[in-house]
Amino acid sequence: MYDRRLNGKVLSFGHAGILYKKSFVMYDRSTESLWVHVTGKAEVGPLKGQQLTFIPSTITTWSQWKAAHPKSLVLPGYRRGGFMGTYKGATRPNPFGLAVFVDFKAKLYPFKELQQHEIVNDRFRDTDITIAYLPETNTAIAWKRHVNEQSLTFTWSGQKDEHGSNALLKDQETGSHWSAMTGAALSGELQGRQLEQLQHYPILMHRYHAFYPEGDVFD
Amino acid sequence: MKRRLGWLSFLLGIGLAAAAACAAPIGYQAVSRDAFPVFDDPEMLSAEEAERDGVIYPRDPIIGVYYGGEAKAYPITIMGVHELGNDTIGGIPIAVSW
Repeated sequence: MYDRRLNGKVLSFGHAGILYKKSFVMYDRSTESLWVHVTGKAEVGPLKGQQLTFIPSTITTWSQWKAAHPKSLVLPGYRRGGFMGTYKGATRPNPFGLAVFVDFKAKLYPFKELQQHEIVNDRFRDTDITIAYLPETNTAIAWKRHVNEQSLTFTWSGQKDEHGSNALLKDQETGSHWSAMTGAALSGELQGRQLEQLQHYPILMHRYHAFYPEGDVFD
Repeated sequence: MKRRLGWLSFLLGIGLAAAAACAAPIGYQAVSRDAFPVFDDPEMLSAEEAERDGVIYPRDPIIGVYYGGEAKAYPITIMGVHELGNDTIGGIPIAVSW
């Protein structure tokens, strides 16, 4: 997901009908430059070389999302009308990983590893990050784990919040409880603080290597 | 022998013509431009409406975004129809792609 603002203008995008490395290409309607939707970078045309800013988003199930955001709006359409594409994360997670971005540089966390660890406290490009993984809904989310000039180390709390959501983290430093879905501290010393979400999305591992040949991989 | 070469060059010709027709500045032209119905500022449903109308069920995968106090969910099966959309969240313009 991208911010459509670029150099003081608002772009709007159409579908170019082009496949590049098996992923579609979009064009902006004002300059007709071609943008790779996986990377958010213009590769052809007047805006070649420009990079769109990420807006962090999360791929999860509706139940997991609604528990965190009960007032969420929903895009209408015919539910059975479309293809799942290549995403079979819920049933076939192994070939997928979570691509996480810091300063537009990528690191891949294979779902196989996330299933094993369930939470990863890591450091990437001088940034302390945590990747929380919820096995029931195969949801992975990446947060900066730096608050109040303090780095936090997260574990799963093993408790549920008032909505019955299992997505509660605990930091080892203060024992505060955090929602893994919203990044908000719900109780404890740091209550009211907010983690910053990193851009991330699940991607087939071989496709990640095609788009980010220099990208890191967690192992 | 001559006749076989004729056929081969004929097939080669078709191949080259097809390749030229599909050539794009990057990748290849798989379908025509705008073949996918990209959405623009869609009318969104409330969670209650979406569930009541059978647009979404608890286990359906979605792309969720929360920004500026606003939350939106884009069901992945429905994104498969559009592949791309222009929308706003928390007052800023966004592109949603799948």
